[in-house]
Amino acid sequence: MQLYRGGIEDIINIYNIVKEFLKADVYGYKRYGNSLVFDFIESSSELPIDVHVVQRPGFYRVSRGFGFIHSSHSPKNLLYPFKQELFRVDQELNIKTLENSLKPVILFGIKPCDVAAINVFDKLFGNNFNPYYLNRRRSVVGIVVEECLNPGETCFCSTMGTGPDARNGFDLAFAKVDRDLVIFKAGSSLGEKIVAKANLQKASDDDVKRYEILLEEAKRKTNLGIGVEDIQTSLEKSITDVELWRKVSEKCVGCANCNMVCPTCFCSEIVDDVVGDEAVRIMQLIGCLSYTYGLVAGGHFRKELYTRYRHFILHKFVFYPKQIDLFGCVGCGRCTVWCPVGIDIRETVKTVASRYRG
Amino acid sequence: MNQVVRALASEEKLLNFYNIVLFDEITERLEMPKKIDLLLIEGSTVTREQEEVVKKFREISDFVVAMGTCAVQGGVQALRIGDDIEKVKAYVYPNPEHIDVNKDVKPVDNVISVDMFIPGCPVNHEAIASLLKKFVSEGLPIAIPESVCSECKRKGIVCVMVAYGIPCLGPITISGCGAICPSFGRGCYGCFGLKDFDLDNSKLKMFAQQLKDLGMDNDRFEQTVKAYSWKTWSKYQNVYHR
Repeated sequence: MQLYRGGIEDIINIYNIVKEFLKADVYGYKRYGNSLVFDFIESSSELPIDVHVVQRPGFYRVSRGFGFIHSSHSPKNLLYPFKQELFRVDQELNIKTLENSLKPVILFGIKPCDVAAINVFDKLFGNNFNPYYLNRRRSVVGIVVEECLNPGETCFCSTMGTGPDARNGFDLAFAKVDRDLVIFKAGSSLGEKIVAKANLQKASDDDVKRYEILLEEAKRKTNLGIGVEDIQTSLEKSITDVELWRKVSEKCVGCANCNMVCPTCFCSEIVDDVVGDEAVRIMQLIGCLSYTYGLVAGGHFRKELYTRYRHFILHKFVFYPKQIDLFGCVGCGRCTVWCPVGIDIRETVKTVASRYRG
Repeated sequence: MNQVVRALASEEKLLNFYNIVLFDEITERLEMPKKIDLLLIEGSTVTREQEEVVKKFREISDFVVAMGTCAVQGGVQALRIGDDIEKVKAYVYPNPEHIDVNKDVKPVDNVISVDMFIPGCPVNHEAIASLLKKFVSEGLPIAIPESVCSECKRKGIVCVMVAYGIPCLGPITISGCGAICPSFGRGCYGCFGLKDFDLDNSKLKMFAQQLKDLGMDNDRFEQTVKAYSWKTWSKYQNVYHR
C-alpha cells in the first residue's frame, strides 16, 4: 500500500477538506472541559492533536502531549445511541415512527479498534436489518482513522487482530510519528481523492522505516502473549467453575460502567412513557452487569453478580463468534480503564487461560 | 414536596385526574377522608403517634408509595441510631425533656406494607410525574434498578472518579436522580440509597478502600451511607470493618 507523508498541519487540512468536499458533519474525539468525549466536532481547534492520555485500570488522565488514544464514549454513541425513541402511539392507536437518520457524517480520527467495533455492529444489526441502526450507519460517508503508534497501557488490540494499525473498513488513515512526520494511507478510492486534494507527497523509505519501527513496537505492547483461540477454549472450559468466577469478580459492584463504555455492548431495555396524549416507546442501553439484566417476570436468571460478569466475558469471546463469526471484544481496554475499581479484563482472561489452557 | 408540586404542574391535564384530599402544604386541613386511591408518604416515623397515623392511613388507602430517602431508608435522622437518645436530644434542643421521640428511626415499610418505593433526597419529579400519569391510566412505571453510573454515561458525562480522581458513591448507589452531582463535576453522595442488591460486606469494604485512596476516609463514608441508606446499610454494618 502506498504511504504518504505530511505534518500535523495536514491533519487539520484534511479535516477541512473532507468537511467541505463531502458536505458532511464531522464526528470524532474532541476536547470537552478537562476531558475528552466523542461528539460533533465543530472546528479543527477541538481536535485532540496536542493531547496525551494516560490510562490504567480505573484511571484516566488527560494532559498535553502526543499520545491520544480514546475516550469513554465511542462511535457507538452516535450509531447506536444510549436512548432512542422508537415510536409513538396516539389515542386512536395510530403509530408514528420517528425519522432517525442523520445528516451525512464523517467519522474523523477514530481508532482501528473503533472501526472493528463498527464491523461487529454491521454484522449484528445488518444481518438482522435493524432499521434504527442501518439508517444511521448509512449516513456515514467517510471514515478517517488515526492509527495508534503510542497505544494505551490497557490496550490489547494486537491480540484481538483489530489494531494498532488500520486494516479494513476505512477511507483514509494517518499515524503521528512525530510533529513533523505524519504517515497517511488511503483505504478506498475516496481516500485516494482526499490524498490528491491534500497534495500529500509520497513517503520516503526512511519515513516508512521510522513508521514501521514504531508500529512494530506498538504491536508488541498491545499483545497479551496469549492467542485468542486459547482464550476462547479456556473460557469455554471454565463455565462451571463457580469458585474461579467468584474470585475474578470479587471487586465488582455491578455498576455496568464496562458495558456502557464498551464499543460493542448493545443490550437494551424497552421503556414506555406517557407524554401528553401519546405513549412513547424508548429503547435504552442497559448493561448485563446491572441487576435488571436477567430480571424477568417470575424471577431472575442471573441473580448472582458473578454470573453476570461471567456472561459479559463469555459473550465477548465465545458467544459473539457463534453469532456473527467475529469476537465481540476489540481489545480497546475501555472496560478496564473506566471500571471504577479497576477490574482488568486482561487479568481475567489470563487467569482463566492459565488454569484451563491445554 | 416541591418535587410533587413540580410533577403535578408538569402537564396541564394531570391535575384534572386527581382530587387532592390531604396535602397540608397546599390544601386546607380537611377531615380524615374515608378512602384514598393513592397515598404518597414522605418521611420516616420517629414517634409512636406517627406510627399510629401511618397505620390508619394504610387502612383507608388502596396504593401506598414510600416517597423519598427518609421514607425508604430512614433518612439523616438515622445518624442518631446507636447513640444515646438523651444525649442526642440535648445536642439539638435547649429543653430536651419536652421532646418525645423514639431512639430508633423506622422507614415506612418497617411499620406498614408499602406498594412502591421512590427513593431520592429529594425525589426526582420525573419519577413522580411518571407514577401519577401511569396510575390514572391503570398501569405502573417499571423500575429499572441499576447504578448511577449508567445515568452518567447516558448523559455523556465523563466519570469523575476515573478521569478526575473524585471520590464518588455512584457505582454503589441506586439510579433515578439523573446523575445530578456528577453532571456538576462532583462525586455522588448516595442520596438515592445504597443498592440493596449485588453488594455484600467484602465488596463494600473494597469499595470504601477505593474511596479512601481517593481521599474519603472511612468515617465519612460510613456517615454518608448511614444518613442516606440506613435500611440497607444496617444489613451490612455489623461485619463492616470491625
